[in-house]
Amino acid sequence: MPELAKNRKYLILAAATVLLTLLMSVAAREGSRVSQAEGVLNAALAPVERVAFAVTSRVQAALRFIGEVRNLSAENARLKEEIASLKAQENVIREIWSENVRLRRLLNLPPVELEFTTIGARVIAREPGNWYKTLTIDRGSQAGIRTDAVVLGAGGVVGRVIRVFPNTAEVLLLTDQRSAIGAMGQFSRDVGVLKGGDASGEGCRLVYLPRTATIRPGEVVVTSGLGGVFPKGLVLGQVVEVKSEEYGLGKFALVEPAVDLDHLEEVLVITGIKN
Amino acid sequence: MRLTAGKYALIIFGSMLGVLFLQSTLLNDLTFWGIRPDLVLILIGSIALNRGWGEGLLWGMVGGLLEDVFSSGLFGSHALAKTIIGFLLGLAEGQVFKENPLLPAVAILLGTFLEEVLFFLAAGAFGQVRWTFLTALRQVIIPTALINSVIAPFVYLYVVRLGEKRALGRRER
Repeated sequence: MPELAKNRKYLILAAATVLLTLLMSVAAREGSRVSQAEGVLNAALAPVERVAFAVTSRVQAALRFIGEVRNLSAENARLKEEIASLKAQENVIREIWSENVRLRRLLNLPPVELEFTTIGARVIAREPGNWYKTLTIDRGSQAGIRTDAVVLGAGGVVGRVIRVFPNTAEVLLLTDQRSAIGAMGQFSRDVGVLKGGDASGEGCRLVYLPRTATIRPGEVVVTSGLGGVFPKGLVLGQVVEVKSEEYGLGKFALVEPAVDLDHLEEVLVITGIKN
Repeated sequence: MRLTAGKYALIIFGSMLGVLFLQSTLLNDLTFWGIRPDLVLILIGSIALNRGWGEGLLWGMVGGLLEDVFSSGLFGSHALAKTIIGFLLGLAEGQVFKENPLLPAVAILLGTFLEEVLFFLAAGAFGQVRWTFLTALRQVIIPTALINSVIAPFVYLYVVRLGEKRALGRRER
């Protein structure tokens, strides 16, 4: 009996450890389903998070504006040139596109043009720790958002929805170490898997490329459509460097995301596909 | 100002909630070489070093569960790691010279390292961490431990002051 009293603290620790491990097991079994308690807590936090994030965004935008104001006229001139060049390119693309549609009709192939139905959402919070890269948006199931919905930013893919609450949703960024997206080089057509949480920094890594892959730095990486979650052809990022795997069995490419994920304020969530 | 036990608990709970809320919104960009300090863990460690294993375990569980609410990870994984570390750091209470300014820095350095390793094992067992141990060490565990140890003396001082006010309140009664 005195022995038991002496070891009381270790028994309490053991009980707490067992209890929390059980809690984790239940949570793992529930998966992306949201418990009632989590739903209530989330609903309570969302309005405050929305205000706090709006304040931060405004302050950051004002600071950025002050820093950039000196370069505005030079940037304006550069952007005008870029618009003129893009307009010329757009005409060429339209020509090629209409030719593609005509030839597909001629060959009896189904059309590839996909139009998405999307819904806009504001970012209201981000992961507070270092292990994960997620963000919370201010639209949820009531706005038609479902688990695995694809989230887009200006320029490309942001990630996918992993948990949905009535008025908010959690988005797993493509740079999160749990993220894996079927991807390929836009020109080389080399197919691989884009994994987040690259060990060398903030970017992603396109892995499982064959040794014969011809993908090069600068090439745009798009979704391959394999895996069923992400539609084919969405821009993911750009190749920074191509390296050989250890023992030379294959290659991998370091990819920089197309979207500035650190300064996202608004996103588009794909809720359906019109075709 | 004198504090009752209830007010003391409320202030600690509010501090943890406030820190998590600020780190996920207003102060999300406040990082050091891309790493956010784990302020909740520093609070838990400071309480444990001052108040012993009982409060260390209790606040470890409360702080960890709060972090689980804010995080996208598996519910309970932060709580498990923080409960164990709160308990272990609490065992040092009474064994060390509390006024030594090096104590919080060294204790939180070791505590954070262990807590992050425990989190890696617990979350990793359920498939929530896909990094290898070496990558996790380099990306999160070592940088967080170093940054936490630099901030720890300031948070420790805050917890010591709160403890003194609580002791005053108790003596008055």
